[in-house]
Amino acid sequence: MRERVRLTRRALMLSGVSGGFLAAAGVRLTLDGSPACEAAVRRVLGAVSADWRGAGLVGRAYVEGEGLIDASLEHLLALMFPSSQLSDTVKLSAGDIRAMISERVRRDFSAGAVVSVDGWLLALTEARLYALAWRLGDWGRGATDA
Amino acid sequence: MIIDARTVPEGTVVETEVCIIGAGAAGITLAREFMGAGFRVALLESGGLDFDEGTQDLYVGGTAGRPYLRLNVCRLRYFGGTTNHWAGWCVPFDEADFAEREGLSYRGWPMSRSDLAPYYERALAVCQVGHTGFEPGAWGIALKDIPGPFNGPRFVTKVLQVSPPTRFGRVYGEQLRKAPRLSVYLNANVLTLDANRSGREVREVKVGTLGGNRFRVRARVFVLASGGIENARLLLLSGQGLGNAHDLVGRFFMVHLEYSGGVIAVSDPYANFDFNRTYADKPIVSYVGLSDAAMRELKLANIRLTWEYELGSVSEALAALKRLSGEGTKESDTWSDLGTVLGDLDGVSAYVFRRALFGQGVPVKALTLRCHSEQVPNPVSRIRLGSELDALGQRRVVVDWRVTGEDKRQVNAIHQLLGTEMGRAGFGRLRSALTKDETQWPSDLRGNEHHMGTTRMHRDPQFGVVDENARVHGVGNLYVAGSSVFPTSGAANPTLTIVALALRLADHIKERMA
Ligand SMILES: Cc1cc2nc3c(=O)[nH]c(=O)nc-3n(C[C@H](O)[C@H](O)[C@H](O)COP(=O)(O)OP(=O)(O)OC[C@H]3O[C@@H](n4cnc5c(N)ncnc54)[C@H](O)[C@@H]3O)c2cc1C
Repeated sequence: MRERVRLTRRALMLSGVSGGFLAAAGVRLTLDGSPACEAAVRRVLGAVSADWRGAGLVGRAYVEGEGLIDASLEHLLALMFPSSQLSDTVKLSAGDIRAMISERVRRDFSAGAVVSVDGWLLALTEARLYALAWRLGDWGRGATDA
Repeated sequence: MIIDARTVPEGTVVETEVCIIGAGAAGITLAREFMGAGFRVALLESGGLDFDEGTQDLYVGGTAGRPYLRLNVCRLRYFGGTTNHWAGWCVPFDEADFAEREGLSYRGWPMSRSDLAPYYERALAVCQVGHTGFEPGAWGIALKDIPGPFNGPRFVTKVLQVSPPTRFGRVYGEQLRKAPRLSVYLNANVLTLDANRSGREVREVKVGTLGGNRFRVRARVFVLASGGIENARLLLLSGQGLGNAHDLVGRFFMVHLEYSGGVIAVSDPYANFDFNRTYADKPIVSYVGLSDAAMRELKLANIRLTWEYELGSVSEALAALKRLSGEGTKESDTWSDLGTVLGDLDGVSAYVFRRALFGQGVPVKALTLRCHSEQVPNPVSRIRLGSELDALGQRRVVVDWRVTGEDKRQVNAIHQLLGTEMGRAGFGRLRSALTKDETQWPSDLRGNEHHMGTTRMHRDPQFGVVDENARVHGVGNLYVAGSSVFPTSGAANPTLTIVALALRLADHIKERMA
């Protein structure tokens, strides 16, 4: 059995959860983990989080703590980027992506769409985004190096 | 005049007009108000002018239920009472504390904050607090310096003022000694309050000293002012339980709950968090609390939130010190190393200090949250008489302090609100130390020294021991002063309200005696 992830404050802070934030970039993408899709998600994550490992840890804690039944890449992508949102992010600058995700996070908090991840109270949007970072762990490392 | 009760001959009957039992914040405030009022007053105090172990031992008691503080440590039994070591934090109860709230049982005072406002103003002077403003603005904390979500509408920044702290015995003792028609009896332990046959009037109190002599004091009016626990103990020790027709005496025992609330990871580590702090240059503490509207609309209990900066751990500081004294340190490391060291040396490092030393400031890693929250009134939480006897042959008190699922639900709801509000405002993220489990609390939970509720105030005798004038229901000439009359506990330190209520009671008694 896998050990339960315990989130340190450091992981959380590095992930960018508590800081300025998130969001995404152009072309109509299929949410299937294809290279083009990967690249777009990487951009979103890169705009939002300074630390892929931290983000991935938060994401994993969320998936495991909540016991998400469907934590597949496709499902997470669909939840995170309904309709053509991921495609739209391609046209946006990193700053705009951050602003977009920040706004989504703010709206989540206002609407009470929150989730407790190892005790941290997070907006659903950020928890899902970090779950994506975890799912896309390999890309994540790539992005930090970039 | 000051009289040592040990010198009063056995069997004496002292005749007076108003008899006050206990010379702490409440009793001394009342006695001062009666100076020059034209009637005779006897102030009976268990202790002497100084601490005495034998007298203090009369405060030993037991605990049942949840572990609670040692009863002979969390209060003091000599002239001046527990103000001989109080910290002096003064703040009125919030408006919402006084209000009845639909869906919340046992809430509501038979008065509003504005009814009490003139007494609060006078109470500030008694507690030697010179400034009447409790608004942050009155102390130079501008609204623009308070970030969301702590500038409303749910959470607001509040201020409490710090008394020197007034040691009531030392500060007012001389005045009382000189006052005509006022006699202070030291070493005078009231043992029981004895009612007439109908039980509707107190006729006299029996007094005993550790020297062994016994005497009685007769008066027209009696005021019990012996502290939040002892007031109930004395009523229970009197006859079948004076004022206890509805089995309420000793019930509803409340304190403030203190615990670590968790950690806040902040969005901007260079921000100024000093709107919530203690000050070296001003006699105030600023803190975060719920707005009156939030408490009313969301039916939430009251809370005080304070925090401390966390800049680095001890081990990080030591490592940093080593690095600083070594060679080859990168400049960027130096900044953060200094920050770590400073954080550990100072504990709480103010923003100005951080900036003065480091230009752009030392980043704050996190804020650790301290909570001081209201307990929900609960009849099962109580004090009662135990089987052990003290040196005067009186049954010792047992505190059966309870913390309920409702208390936990309340703080959980407040923490959830705090977390979402901080996220919404972009302040940061909260890792609450509270779990959903209604029986589980942070391991450092403690009930503090503020003893409230054991002779609660309510217009209806079925819900209160004393009426809106603090007169014991069903007993025409007996009043109670002190935090035992508080029907709810709010999050405010109690003494300013104790003094305000004592001033109000003094006015009432003066009118009655006229
Ligand atoms: C460490 C500590 C810090 C505190 N800090 C604060 C603070 O910062 N702010 C705040 O608001 N509150 C604070 N408090 C609480 C504050 O001290 C009390 O609220 C206040 O003293 C209560 O006043 P009182 O007159 O009701 O009772 P007391 O001050 O306790 O006085 C009761 C008096 O009655 C006498 N007595 C008792 N039994 C008898 C008897 N049978 N016969 C005759 N006399 C009797 C006692 O000897 C005593 O002198 C603190 C308490 C403690 C322990």
